Amino acid sequence: MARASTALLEWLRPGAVRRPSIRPLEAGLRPNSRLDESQTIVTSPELTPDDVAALGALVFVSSGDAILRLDDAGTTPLASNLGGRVTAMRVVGSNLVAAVEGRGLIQVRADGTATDLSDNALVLRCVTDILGLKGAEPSRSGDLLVAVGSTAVDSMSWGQEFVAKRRSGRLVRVHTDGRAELVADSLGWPSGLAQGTGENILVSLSMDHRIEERSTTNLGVPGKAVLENLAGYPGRLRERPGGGWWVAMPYLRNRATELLMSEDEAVADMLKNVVETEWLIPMLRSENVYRDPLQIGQQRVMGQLKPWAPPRTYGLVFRLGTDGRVVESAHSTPDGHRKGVTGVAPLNDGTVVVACQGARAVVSVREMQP
Amino acid sequence: MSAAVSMPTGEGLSTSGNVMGQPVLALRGVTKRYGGAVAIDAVDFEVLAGEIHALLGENGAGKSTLAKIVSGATSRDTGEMFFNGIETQFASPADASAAGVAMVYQETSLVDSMTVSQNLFLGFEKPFNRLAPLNIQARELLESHNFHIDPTASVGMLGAAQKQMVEIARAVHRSARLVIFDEPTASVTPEEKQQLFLSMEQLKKRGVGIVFITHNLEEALQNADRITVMRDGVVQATKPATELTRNDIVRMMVGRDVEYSRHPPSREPDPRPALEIDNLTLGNIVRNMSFSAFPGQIVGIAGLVGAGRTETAMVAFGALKRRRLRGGEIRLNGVPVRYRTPRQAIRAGIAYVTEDRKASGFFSDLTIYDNIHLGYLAAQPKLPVLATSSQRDAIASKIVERFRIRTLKPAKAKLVELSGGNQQKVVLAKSLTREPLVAIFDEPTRGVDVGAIEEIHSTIREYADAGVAVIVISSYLPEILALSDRILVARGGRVVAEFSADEASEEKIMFAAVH
Repeated sequence: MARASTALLEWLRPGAVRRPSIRPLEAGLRPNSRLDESQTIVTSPELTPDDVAALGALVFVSSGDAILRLDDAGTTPLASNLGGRVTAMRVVGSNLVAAVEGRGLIQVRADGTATDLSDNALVLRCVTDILGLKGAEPSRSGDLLVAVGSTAVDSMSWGQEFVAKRRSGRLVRVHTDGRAELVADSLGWPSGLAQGTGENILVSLSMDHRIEERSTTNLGVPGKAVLENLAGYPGRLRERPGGGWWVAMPYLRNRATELLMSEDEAVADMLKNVVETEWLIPMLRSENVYRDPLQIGQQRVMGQLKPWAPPRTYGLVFRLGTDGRVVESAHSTPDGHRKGVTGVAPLNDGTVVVACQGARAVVSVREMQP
Repeated sequence: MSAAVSMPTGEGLSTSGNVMGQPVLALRGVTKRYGGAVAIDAVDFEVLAGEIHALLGENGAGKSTLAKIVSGATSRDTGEMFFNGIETQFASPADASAAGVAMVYQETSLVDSMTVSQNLFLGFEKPFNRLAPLNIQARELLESHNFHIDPTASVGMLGAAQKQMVEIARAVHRSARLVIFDEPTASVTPEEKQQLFLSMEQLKKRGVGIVFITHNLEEALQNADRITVMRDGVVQATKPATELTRNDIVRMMVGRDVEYSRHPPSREPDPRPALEIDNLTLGNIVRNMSFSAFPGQIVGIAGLVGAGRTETAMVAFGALKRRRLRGGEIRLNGVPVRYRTPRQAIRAGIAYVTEDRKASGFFSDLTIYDNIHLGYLAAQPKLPVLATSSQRDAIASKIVERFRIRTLKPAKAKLVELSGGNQQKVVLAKSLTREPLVAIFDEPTRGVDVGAIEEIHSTIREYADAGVAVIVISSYLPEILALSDRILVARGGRVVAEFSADEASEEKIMFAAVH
């Protein structure tokens, strides 16, 4: 009935009805194969790289309940058995701050020793990113800002939050004494934080396909969009040494999923009858089983056989200029193998270290423009 | 009629009635003046039977005047014209047609509302004409040329190349001995071009003399046997095509070297798009078309005719309506818009320079000033109570200066009297009297001479550099490559590929456009 009335209204006044659409990947987001052609730093079936952090020339990657240091030999454990999965990691001042599922925020020193910073319930689960507010260093003074993706599920269960259409994400300010303060809630899976211009910060809101700028003095108020109606679900944000930011995009939107999500009965049916790994929603990794949706249909485009719709997995990381323009991007297209980018760390030498959780690999990409 | 230059001997007589290798047409010292201006001056020109003779020159070089004299549309002042060896002066186009001269125009002379067969036999209908035999006869005629066109189809529904095929078939049916093609490839797809050149080859084999007037130098070099270059009403040279290069021709045409130079941008584009075409759908022509145009950037849209590019631009401009249900969305500076008329779009800041300037670009019987002033008035929020000629002159003279429109008296010169290049500049000026947010140029240099192309390209770049979001729709790939900062390729009503200016090549674009 509602659908019929919408159609009637649209027929009478075509401009009165707005239908959601997915923007094409164009201009700075034009597909390429840079991720697939990038240099592999480390790859292993046991590795589940999630976040990357650079401290000077040292690069760290979180995988499971450990933090690893990348070196010539591949990886060397910096800290392991942290008591839970490391869900986010950030260099604040000269130290590494990490969020451990079930443990809270910890500080990891260069020798691998870990100190608890906060075990407040607000930051105990599903922390997706951490940011040291300007001038902050937890050992001396300054606060941390923490993005919590959801209060209902853990950080690996983005899909469950997505199909539930919940908006239970939060921003939490953690003071130097370990006290945590809720500064924003009811957000659509906040997944990335970065220092913006002046006193502002950037927040990526995964479910809203949006990166926005918020004032640190009023974090609870929706900010001005830097990028909106993105073609994917944005993830972590990292400041680039020369200005601007790099953004990880773990998932890409597709029309089939958006159509499904508009049909509540179909979603309920899927939740009831289909195992989670085969849901028709974006994933970090495809196991290439024949029951995988969307991976089989093909069409010929420019002489090549391509999936007929964007598949559930995609690899994308892009650079955002200070003016809000997408300057460049690196992709792993549907036929590629570097999918599910969850972490990104730009280095001073123009190299960007990328964690492809879907591919169980850490790779490096050269920036195209200074 | 008197004084033969060469007489048919009966040997080598072709199916067209011409003698292969003998001149079908010969002009000797032909001069034509309009008022005080010399249109063509002491022109010598010759077309042999079974020859494709390309006639090249900038707009205003005298090609059209020459064609008009040959086809009987106008008379020469001095000089001689021999047709099949006999000195001739055609009193009218009908006279020329009866003698065997046929014209195939860029914009065809067919009647759109009639069928193909009716057009083929127009003027030769018998009393109590029955359509069925007429259709069979038309089909035989078309098939004999390998033209796969339904004789019962309405001409208005045909593509540009198919219309030209009908024109060719009609010319042959009327036993044409000389066919003048005036810019036949300006609006056809590459495939249709190939078909057209095959048709010309067939005519050539029949011994028909062919005059091929074109601006596309490559086509002339590839397909013509001989090339004549004109400049300022004077023949510069007539040589076999194999002895000429593109640069030779350009030098003769414009008196200097002209290259299609790239116009690099002088600024970075703005981060937010000025115009967003989002899932736009219109019948079967435009299907989920999506792209954005950013201020300060030129987006070139390449593709074959029928790819839905023009229709998309016309929907954005309010000249066409998108599909009513699930027809997509157009956003101007992030705000959804749906214009019912072009006027609304113009006032909102969208300028569209039409591809079909003769039909919808200008008022041919009005002066340059009047045309520009009308464009200016259309862009105003309210019509003035009184529009005086002094106001008009003040506004139009500035715009004439800005767009470098060169005529002796722009306040009095009518559009019909101008060269294609100047006409197109007026269309640009008329559409851009006000600084727009988005400017869409649809085939901006079609039928425009080489010298004016460079000026129009510079003008387009100036707009982009001033912060206008510019969209250029063109089927001519060198133009797309020279102008665009970002190149989109449309096929089947949607964008199928995107290239940066650095990586794009004609081969890549064409591959994307046809695969």
